[in-house]
Amino acid sequence: MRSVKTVAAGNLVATLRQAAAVAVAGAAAGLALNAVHARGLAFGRPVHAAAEAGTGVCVGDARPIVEIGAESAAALCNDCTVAFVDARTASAYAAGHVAGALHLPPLGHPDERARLAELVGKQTVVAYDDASHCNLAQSVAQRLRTSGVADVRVLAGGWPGWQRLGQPAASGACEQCARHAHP
Amino acid sequence: MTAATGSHRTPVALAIAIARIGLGVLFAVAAVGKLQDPAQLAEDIANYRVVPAALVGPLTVTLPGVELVVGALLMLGVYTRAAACLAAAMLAAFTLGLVQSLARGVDLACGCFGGAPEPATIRTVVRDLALFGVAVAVATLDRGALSAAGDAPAE
Repeated sequence: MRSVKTVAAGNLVATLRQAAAVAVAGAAAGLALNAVHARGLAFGRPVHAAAEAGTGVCVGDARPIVEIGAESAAALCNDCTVAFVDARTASAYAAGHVAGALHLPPLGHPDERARLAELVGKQTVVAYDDASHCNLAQSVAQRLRTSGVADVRVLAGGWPGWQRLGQPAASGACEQCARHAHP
Repeated sequence: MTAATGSHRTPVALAIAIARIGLGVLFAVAAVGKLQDPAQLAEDIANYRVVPAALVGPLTVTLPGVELVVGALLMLGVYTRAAACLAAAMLAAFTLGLVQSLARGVDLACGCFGGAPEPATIRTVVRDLALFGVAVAVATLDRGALSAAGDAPAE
């Protein structure tokens, strides 16, 4: 005859075993789903927080970069010596961005040096983000300034502001610049 | 006979069953949302600054799978106690991660359901704590089919 305590302990151990089995099964399912995912993650690649990667600051201690309004930026867009840099995530960039904008994501780009090389010769670089959370554009702008870009601005209102003012990629104003910069 | 699977359902047992299914749906929805954009999820997890950079990738890959399996088991009422225990453990970890980030003044998206960024706030913490309570209640009161605690002690 088993005591209540013995049964309870046995049930607890059995439950923990089952929980471990469920966790292992779930992890295996996650691995399988990632393997077949079109944008599956590289399992072993280290991923740093935005601030640690030097491409995004969430705590907000970056030295402010001068902002530029969307209308003024749109006027600069016709100048091929001006480049736009998208500091948002890859998925946000893929969903829509300023025409011709380079993507410098918060976690850093796999080919970062080549990306920065594409900005050589640009007199002005306008960085933007989604203007909602971390000051990603400010941080990327800081990095660009450190890399030698003399005139770096941050787009006031970010991508949402750009869209609100009717200055989306669909305007095509930057297409020529885009072709020029990324043949 | 279990609290929620017996033939004589009480209002409490019915409420627990509804809570179990609701929790399961929530976990499944969260998993599907996270699976949409693994890179975004990795970024969200990294921004908590709790997990070492080398472990963010493995966690990003496995977390949605575990959530999906836990959600499915809770919805089906199979291995309910184990699934609810795992759900409670995950919710406790999420809550601790949120609290430490908010305490340090880190402004971040919670990454709870993937998709559009949802700011992590004190409301997120309260929500996770409430869900933790639901998970504990389900683990305690709703053993479901094939759960280890289904047998009563011998008299």
